[in-house]
Amino acid sequence: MKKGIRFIAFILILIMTVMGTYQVLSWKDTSGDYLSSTQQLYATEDNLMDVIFVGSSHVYCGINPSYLWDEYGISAFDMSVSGQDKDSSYHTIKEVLKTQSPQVVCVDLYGLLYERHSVLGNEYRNMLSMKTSANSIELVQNYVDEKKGQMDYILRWPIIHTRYKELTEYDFIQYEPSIYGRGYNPNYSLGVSYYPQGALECAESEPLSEDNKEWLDKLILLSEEEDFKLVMFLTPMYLEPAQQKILNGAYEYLSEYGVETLDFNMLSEQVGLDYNADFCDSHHLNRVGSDKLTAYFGEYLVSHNQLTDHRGDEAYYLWDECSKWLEHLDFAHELKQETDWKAFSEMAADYNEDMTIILYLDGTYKESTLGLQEVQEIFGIPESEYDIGGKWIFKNGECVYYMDPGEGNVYGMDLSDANVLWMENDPGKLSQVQINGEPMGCAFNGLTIVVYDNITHQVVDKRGFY
Amino acid sequence: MLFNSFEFLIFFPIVVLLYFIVPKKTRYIWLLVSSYYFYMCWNAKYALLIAISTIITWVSGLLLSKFKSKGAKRVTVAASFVSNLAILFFFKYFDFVLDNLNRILSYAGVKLISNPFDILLPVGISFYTFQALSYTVDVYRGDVEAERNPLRYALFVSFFPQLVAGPIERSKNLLTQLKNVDKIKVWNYDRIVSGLILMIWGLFQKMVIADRLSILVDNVFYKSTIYGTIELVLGAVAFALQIYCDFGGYSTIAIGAAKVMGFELMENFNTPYFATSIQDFWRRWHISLSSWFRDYLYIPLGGSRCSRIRKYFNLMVTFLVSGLWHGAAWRYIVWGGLHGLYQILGDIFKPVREKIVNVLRVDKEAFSYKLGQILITFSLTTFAWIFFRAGSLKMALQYIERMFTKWNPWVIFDQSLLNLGLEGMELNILILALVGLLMADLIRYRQKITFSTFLMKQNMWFRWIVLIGMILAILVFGVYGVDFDSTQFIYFDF
Repeated sequence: MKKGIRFIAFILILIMTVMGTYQVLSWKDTSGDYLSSTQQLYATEDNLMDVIFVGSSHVYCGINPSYLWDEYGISAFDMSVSGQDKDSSYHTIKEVLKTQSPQVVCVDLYGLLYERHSVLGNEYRNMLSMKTSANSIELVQNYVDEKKGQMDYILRWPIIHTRYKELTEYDFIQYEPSIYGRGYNPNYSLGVSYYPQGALECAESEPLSEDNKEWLDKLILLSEEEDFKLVMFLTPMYLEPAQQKILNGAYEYLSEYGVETLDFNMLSEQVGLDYNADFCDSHHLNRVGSDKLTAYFGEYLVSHNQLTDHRGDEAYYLWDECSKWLEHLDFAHELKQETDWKAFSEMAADYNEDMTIILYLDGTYKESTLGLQEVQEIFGIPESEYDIGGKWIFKNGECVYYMDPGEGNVYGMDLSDANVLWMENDPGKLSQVQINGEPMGCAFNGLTIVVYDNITHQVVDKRGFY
Repeated sequence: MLFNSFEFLIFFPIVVLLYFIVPKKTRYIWLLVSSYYFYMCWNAKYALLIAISTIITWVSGLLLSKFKSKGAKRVTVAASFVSNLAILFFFKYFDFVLDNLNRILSYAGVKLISNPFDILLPVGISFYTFQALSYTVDVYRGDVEAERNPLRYALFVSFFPQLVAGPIERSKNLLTQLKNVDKIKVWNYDRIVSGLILMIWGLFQKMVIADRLSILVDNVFYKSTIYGTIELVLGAVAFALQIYCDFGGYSTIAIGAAKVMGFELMENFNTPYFATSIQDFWRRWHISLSSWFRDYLYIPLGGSRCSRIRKYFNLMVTFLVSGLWHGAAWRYIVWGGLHGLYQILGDIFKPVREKIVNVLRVDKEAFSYKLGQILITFSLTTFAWIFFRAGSLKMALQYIERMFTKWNPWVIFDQSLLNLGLEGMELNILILALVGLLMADLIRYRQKITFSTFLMKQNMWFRWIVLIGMILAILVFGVYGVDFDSTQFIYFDF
């Protein structure tokens, strides 16, 4: 009896240890900066999402739920995963519907244009992100061939156990944007795209393939069963005429069932898209383009639906946090564009909410022709401290630590659960200030400014001026 | 079905559970059904071969028990051997013989014989054939009584834990246990836990060590023509450890699985790389096979109680056959021949060795002397393993030639060794696991107890930490899943 209890106790401890290990090793989007719309979904309280955008990277690059929140108070969410295929899209909606009751579900039509993932990472993203349930198993059974590792995907462990080679701090502590983010993943780069003239001139249509028809039928049926309005859309992108034919076939089919469709290639003029400025590549909108598209989508949604303005409702705090996060990302982008030392310093000093700024004056900074003495006024540094130089840490606009240039001075500080700041006086070395062991110094003789974002937990920028 | 597969993870608990639930008298039938299912998961048709081998040896056992005359008995034994070995020959050696015959014919300018068969080597055929044949001899010698129950006998030949890669059991041991299967106590905590520990330890050896080493071994042997002495020596040593952990791991899982169900299989490995001579090595390596050859070939040939020349002949024949048993290729025969040669030379030069030891006043009880013996034995066996692992005899010779001529000590210092397939974390995991293996073998060597016995004697908290650590190591660091190019157990090919 005693041995039996001992055996059971061992098994229980083993199960707990294995489950704990699974949490660490579980699939996370390491190449996508650990950002996961699925985790964001699970972190959201029940029945808060009114509008869901479902689809691939076109959705998380092109639709900005924070814009809809800030402008209309719409609680929208991008339930998007890179390369989301038809099966994944359907089962993702079913996963959302377990906890949410959206009025409108907008589904990306891009899935009509391909059958299988060409990138293994995308297969993992789609097959392994959801919690294990009958729904996730059904997805794997529908998508993964029985002989090509279906059981590996269902069990997950045979795939994820090799992640021990790539573990980072965010496998042990929660990556916060994967909680409060609303699925949007802004891209600030500028890439080349082309107006899909050939595709748009193509008026022909192609009959739907069996797979495509089945997918659309399932979505229509689901919208009827779960009582949400289904809207199908295509974000602006470069397409070939052959692809447009498939889409035209789908538009004809969907119109028979009264499903609204929005083809933003066709609506690009109304949206006001600039193909030279609003894309990060031929398929994806950038940050600027996404706001234009979302503005149009917002108008469409409020004019076609009775959506409640939830701003001010505490239950929707995640949407507020997401907006704040996006502001920080916008600020980081703007700061990086700035080249003038004074303008850079003023931007850093003015945007002080949830920021840590490390500033130091080293070597012959007084001889600089840049007029670095103005740093006193910008950051509020006393003249006596400026005269001898040193290092300052500002947190949320307040100076929380000053280290004079005395020899042997050292200081360490936690910036977050995973990031540590280290400072020492070792003149003539750029490693005097380090974050996680990485030297932050930029100027031997002059002013160095390091801007650390307390929200994104990233070094926004580090600059040296001399 | 592999021991390190998801299928076995499902299969084994179901088999064990039902084995304890079904009426005691029918346990062996359940195990027989399970064993055939286990084998048929690989190839259903080839289960027929086991059945044929089983019928022949069972009938021969019955006939042996009935016949009184020695002549009739001998004919029966011969018939059993010829028919079983004919099956083994056809499936394992037909291609090899035909290939060599064609080579000879091509030298003579005669038209070659085309192979009329497309033969797939049945998994484990050498193992179960030898096990079945040993029964015939045991009954002939009167060591065991003929088994009258055909199903029970069929289970002896096909018992799934040791069916495809041994240990090659003797009827005296396993058949006797199978006869008493209804007396096995269901819930014996210590026995079950001890068996499970062995299974975990075997899986650890296979999945964490052997399959990780195989990455380096495969790379070095595949590209042996670009590597120098250091890499090639490292590759050979890595293979020596790989095959030990691979085959030793399999045997340990087999012994553990049988133990969970209440059966004691014979030991198959006993710290072979701590052997102080080649003779000692064969007392520790693949014990069930080497003792089979000793009992059923070497001793019947005359063993060592004969003239020196005859003894050397017996030794050489035994090891050449042993090499051939491992595979139908010249490199296996050379491997076996090398082991025979080591022993013959060792015996010839024994007086010289003794004299040197006396002249130099070497203390034979000193640790350094034993360590030297162990290192020399390990070097000799590792050298022989090159023939075992290389793709062909020619490739093995090229490997050895480069190993002795391309001296490149700088690769030890310029980090080139990290480019052999294992680097950084993988190498750290391997080193840690090998330290664990060394500790387990040291315990076995010095305390003469198995790893599971040692662990069962420890305090609970220590035992739990070690076990949970090993299970996690298998689950996390084991080589399996998507990145895994299904490396079967090496001895499945034999």
